[in-house]
Amino acid sequence: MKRILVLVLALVLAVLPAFGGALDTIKQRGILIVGVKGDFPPFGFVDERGQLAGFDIDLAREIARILLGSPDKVQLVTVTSANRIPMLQTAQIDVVIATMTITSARKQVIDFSVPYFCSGHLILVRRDNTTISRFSDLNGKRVATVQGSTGDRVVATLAPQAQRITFGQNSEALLALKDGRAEAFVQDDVLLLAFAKQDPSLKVVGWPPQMPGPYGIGVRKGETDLLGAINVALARIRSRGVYGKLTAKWFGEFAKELLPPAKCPPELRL
Amino acid sequence: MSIDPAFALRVLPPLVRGAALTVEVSIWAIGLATGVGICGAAARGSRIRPVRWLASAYVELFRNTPLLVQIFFIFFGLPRVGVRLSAFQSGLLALVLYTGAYNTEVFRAGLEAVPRGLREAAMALGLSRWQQFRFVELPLAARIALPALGNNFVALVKNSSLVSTIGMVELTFVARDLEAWTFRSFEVYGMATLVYLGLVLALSGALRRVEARALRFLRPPEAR
Amino acid sequence: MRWEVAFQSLPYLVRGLEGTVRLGLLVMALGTILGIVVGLLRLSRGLPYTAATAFVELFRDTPLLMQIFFVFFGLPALGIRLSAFVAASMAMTSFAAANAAEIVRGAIQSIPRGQMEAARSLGLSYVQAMRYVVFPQAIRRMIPPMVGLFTTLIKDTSLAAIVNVFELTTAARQVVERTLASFEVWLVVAGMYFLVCYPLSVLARRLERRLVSESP
Repeated sequence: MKRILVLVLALVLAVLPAFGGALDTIKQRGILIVGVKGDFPPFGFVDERGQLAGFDIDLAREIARILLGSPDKVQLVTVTSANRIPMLQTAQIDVVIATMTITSARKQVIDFSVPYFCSGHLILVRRDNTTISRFSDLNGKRVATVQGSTGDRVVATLAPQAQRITFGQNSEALLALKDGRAEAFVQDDVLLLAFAKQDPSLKVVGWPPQMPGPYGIGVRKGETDLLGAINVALARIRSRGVYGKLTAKWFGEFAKELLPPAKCPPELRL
Repeated sequence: MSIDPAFALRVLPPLVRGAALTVEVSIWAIGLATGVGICGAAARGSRIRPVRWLASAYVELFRNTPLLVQIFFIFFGLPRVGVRLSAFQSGLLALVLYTGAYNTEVFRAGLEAVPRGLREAAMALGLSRWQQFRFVELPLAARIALPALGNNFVALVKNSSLVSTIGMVELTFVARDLEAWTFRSFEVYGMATLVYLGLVLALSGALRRVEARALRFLRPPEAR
Repeated sequence: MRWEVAFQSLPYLVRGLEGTVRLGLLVMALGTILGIVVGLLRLSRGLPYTAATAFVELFRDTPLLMQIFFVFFGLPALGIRLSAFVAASMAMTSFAAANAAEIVRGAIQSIPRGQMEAARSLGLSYVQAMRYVVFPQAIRRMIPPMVGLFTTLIKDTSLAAIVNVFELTTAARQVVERTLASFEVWLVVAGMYFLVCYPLSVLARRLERRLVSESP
């Protein structure tokens, strides 16, 4: 019996991460563990070969290049809107680069880098829909959203009488829309534009993008060294023109429809 | 982050409202699954071979695949072939088919537990088929089947937590929604667990009383 | 119908199935060990009995999904940090142990009292009697329901998908995410689970007939 208890204790202790500054741990380990989306084109998605790809992934690699010397010193972990913060808090990942909007609520539990993107919210509907063109039209209708996303809160704020149906990942909300279970799907503008481009039976309405918010890189509260290093890395990525290259690569076609970063408030008050 | 008991109490009302839907879908599912179980057991004992085979196939398919996959298939898969059910209907259907498969086995085991000799004796005594069933087979079968059936009902209530994945706003869904925005996971999931515990214990207690009464009711009348 | 899509993803899904089986085996192994301990405690009295009973009631009367959420999302509030895999494993192990404990207890209690009495009258202590006489006989009766428990666990690993542990259901969701071929993929995945669980169910039934019917 005692032997079993000792084994269990050892097991528990073995899974507790080492204490100490995150930046030091990362440098010692030599790998940056990044939480990214797997269901959010063009920021983070799974391509035909089963590999994660997207803007956030490339950004993560550029940051690893600056922090650790090589873009390959990155371990990508898929997260969802609902679990990205717990994954960060439990030290399963070092940083979150997963289309995470900086909101006042989230700032209370984690720390954010300087913004790296600006995203408003739009509405995706079926092409034959004629009743929805603005957010206020959503009242009384069934709207698909994703658990833990700002889109979910935006619907609750701009259309309180809308009937929200919340799902775990973007594809499920999309299928709900296509199958007629919901009349609309509200999410970040870039994502919906990407979906509409892939599927001619859908169209994007609700212009201009509502309640814009900046995407930020998330770190655990109090990790000031790591945060500082990331902010410096982001500044360098911009100044070297790498940021411009990534934007052109991943959003080229939508660039004119998106909000310029200048139009974004420092955080989304949700 | 520390634990806040006051917050835990504040989330109780929305959780209980979610639990109302849990109870609603559970009651429907329990009723329908019992019916499915009885039909399934009858089909399993049928003299027509294809019917027997179909019933077996049904039971094996639904007991050897995860309920979550069944839910996803019904809700996300069927619309692709034109069958579109709401979240409530999909969740209900999955729970009924899954639990119905287990119930079929329970009823079948109950009926098979009646010794052949007893049935023949009843026939020899001149009892009609109905009287045989009501006074001989049913009481014996029930004694074996009812506890197992009760277990299946409790399992159904616990399994109802899975329909949160298709957007039904029941207890688990409300808990996840609350947690996604308040980040107070310990309080939210702790309270949700307690509510489930309450539901299950209440159901178990009610089942025990129903079993006792049913067994008394089914006892053959005293010889006069 | 886009069956080619589903079959193209088969290698990826098989990797998911490996994750499922690995998780299932780990949880079954740990759960059985813990379950035997708890099951034996359920046969005692006083504090060990109460603690064991509380454990069994808690993990059998609450949904497994809630248990996983609580361990993965809730424990960090107490400063306990666990990966999704460890959290799901811990929750599932406790769940498995609670069920295994009841199987163990039921099997031991089904051994006729006379066995224990005879052993004690021969001078063996309670522990010796349990270890050399009662328990070995009980093991035969435990095996069929344990195989059934393992089948249930394989199915329940699908819940770990909700916290993104990599196993078959997670892999399936990712494939559906990419291809939107929900009908084909979920049908294929159901078939894959069936191919693993059905033989186990048949095995359990056969063991039941052989091991239990022949017991003294």
